Amino acid sequence: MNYFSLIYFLLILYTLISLGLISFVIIYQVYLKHQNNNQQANKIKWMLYFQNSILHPKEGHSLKIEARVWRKLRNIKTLIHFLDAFAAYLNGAHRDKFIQVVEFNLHEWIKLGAYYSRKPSLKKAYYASVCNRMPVSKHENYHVLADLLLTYLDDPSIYCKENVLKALYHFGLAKPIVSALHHLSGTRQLHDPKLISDGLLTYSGDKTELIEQLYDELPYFQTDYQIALINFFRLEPAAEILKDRLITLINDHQTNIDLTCAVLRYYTKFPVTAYQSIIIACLEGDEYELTDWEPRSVAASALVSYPSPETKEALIRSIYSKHWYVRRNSAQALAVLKVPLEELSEVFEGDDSYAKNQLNYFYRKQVSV
Amino acid sequence: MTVELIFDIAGVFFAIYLFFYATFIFIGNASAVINLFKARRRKLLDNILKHPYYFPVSIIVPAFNESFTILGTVDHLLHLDYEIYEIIIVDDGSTDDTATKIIDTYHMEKQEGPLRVQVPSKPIQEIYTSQFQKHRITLVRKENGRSKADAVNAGINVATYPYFIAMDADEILQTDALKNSARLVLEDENVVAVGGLLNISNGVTFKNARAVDTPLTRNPVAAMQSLEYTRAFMGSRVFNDSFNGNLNVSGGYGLFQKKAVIEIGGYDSKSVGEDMDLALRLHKHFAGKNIPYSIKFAADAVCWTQAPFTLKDLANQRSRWHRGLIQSMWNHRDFFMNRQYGHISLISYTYFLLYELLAPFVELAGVLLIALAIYTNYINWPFTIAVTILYSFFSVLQSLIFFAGRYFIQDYTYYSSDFVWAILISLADLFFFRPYLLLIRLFATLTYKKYLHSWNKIVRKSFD
Repeated sequence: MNYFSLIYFLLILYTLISLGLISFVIIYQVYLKHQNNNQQANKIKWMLYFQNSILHPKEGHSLKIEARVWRKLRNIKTLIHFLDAFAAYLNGAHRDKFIQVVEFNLHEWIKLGAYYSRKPSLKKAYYASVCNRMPVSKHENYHVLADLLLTYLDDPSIYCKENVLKALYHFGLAKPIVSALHHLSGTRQLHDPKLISDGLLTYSGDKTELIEQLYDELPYFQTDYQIALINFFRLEPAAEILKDRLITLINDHQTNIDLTCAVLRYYTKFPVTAYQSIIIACLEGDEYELTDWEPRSVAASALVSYPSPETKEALIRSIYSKHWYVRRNSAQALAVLKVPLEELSEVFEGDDSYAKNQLNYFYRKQVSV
Repeated sequence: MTVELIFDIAGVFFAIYLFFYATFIFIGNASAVINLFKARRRKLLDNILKHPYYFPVSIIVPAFNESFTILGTVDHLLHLDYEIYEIIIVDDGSTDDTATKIIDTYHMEKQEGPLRVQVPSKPIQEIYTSQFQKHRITLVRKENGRSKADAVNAGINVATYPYFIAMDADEILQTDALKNSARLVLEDENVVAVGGLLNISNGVTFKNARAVDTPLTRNPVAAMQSLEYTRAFMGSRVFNDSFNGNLNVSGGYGLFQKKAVIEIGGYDSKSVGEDMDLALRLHKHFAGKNIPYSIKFAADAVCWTQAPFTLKDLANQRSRWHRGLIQSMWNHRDFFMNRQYGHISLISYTYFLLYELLAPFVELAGVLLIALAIYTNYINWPFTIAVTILYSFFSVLQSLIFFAGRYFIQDYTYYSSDFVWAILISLADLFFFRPYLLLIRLFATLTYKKYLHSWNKIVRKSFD
């Protein structure tokens, strides 16, 4: 009966631990509820502190947050409550005064950041997320803070990395952003290209300066990062300055196919008539394997920005492509370019029912629009 | 062979069987609670990817005679907190006015365009579209394919975006569900599918795709399923997620990378458990070729589904599920003890085999042995009673842990009477529903060939 005793013992053990778990779950819920109530009380406590020490100090004018307070802020919960109260003033009538407080105490905030840099990812990511909400100024210490945040990028947490990047975009300092992306790319840490390109769009500083710096470093990034940067250039109007430079990527036949597609999309947004023949070559040229339909289909779409007889001819030829998307995009481009139907009679009178279907669909759609 | 020897062998077998079961459940649930707790803390400390919009998603809603529910479902879908998505309703040859209701309500127009068929489905007869608010709604009318898989495949062929959601027509996708599941794809580029948490909507009140009042329904059949879903999704799915071992992305709600699903040929329309079959084929495709991938579970991507509220409907649903399970497990038997599939084979597949597929027979054998032991006066009554009470207590606790733990995920309405009701239902589950479902599963196994492709429509109510 030994094995039965073992089962009996294990069931007792598991049941007891399960009881512990359910107690933990319930106590934690109660604790959270209590925390919510406490949060308001703590926020008021800190608001009173700011009122007494910043707005109406006993001894004249003061912007300084005392050392004892900074020590308390090493506790993450205290930091949350403190920042809640601070944000209430920062977004209220005393905004200017509290911006001065931020600048005056930036050095201490950086020291606090250095403390949190030795803490687990969770807390580091939170510190970085707070930096993303800070008021931005030209204060030189923002460079120091940016340098500190760059050290957070070694943390494996994606949330930490993303919060750091967001803070850097928010600060509007080009150089740390380039360094951050270099670091991530160089250490082969994958960060979703969409997060990077969309994040860069929120950059608050001089966008031309950022674009120039990113372009200069473009060859040194991994392909995923290069694609993210080209996508950013496409979405950012100020990146029109690159329209005479990015074409080299298409001309280089060693360029990765996805990168070529990204550049072709850029030239849809920022067309340069002189490059029309290059884009037509992407649609029809033999530099791609027959199976590589992506650059061809993107080139077909890009040609809507290059209306000309050559474009029309190339699109008509491509409507017979063996690749579904090339055919589809060519038909769509012809419809968007409003090529007269009589000029497409060859297709309509031909044997390729797929080509006819595609054209019919997009022309009908055009009419209904 | 003497009776004593039979009992001795059976004793060892059942002791080992129960040991592994209780240990698996216990470790799984404990680790799931810890994971949920960590997830909650991450959210509190801004450890979350916030993005104005993630990537465009096609929501595919297969519908067969869903006249009662379809408009409510689409209306709730239009309230999703997500920037770019399209809704594709696939009317799988309904004989009621499902299609007419949609066409009239959303002022749809017939479209005749080229269609790229990438996965097999019965012929598409008509396509209607309209732009409603800022989202495109498409109605696909097709020949009845006698399976949900066939309808979803038709939806995939029509879908224009790189990711799609497959769901049921009688569900409400919570307003933040899409956002919370899409987030996981941005976190890890190797994610090919994300499952969501299914909750029972019976008794719950909704407003604009948000659950505003969430009592535990007083219908015992639905309440039992509510606890069961909570236990399954918050317990085993969260645990299996920690080692990429989820064998199923529930057909009720799943976000998929369209390219990956097309690569494996879409859903198998011959499969009754099409959701499990798809997940297993995704595992096989990627793990088999050593391509990095993961199938994730998003506990905060909540989808509300109507549970059968009569024992008859419950029996119909569970019979079908069990036949689907048998079919999937058999079709993918190469997962069994196959080192190529790592944890999926060793832990997930083995667990499903022993404690889902074979469980009805093991349980039946247990009942018969107890009867024999009573008859031959071989039973140790004090021990049997003690273990039964202890196991019942342990089992009830596992349900209650997650019933209480629901608040880790989101703010449910708290009713103290619900907790008492949950305890009663957990006991009823143990002493009534599980034996009832045992019989259903035995019946499903024995009639596997005869009724594999049979389908009994379950009674639904329209959403308020």
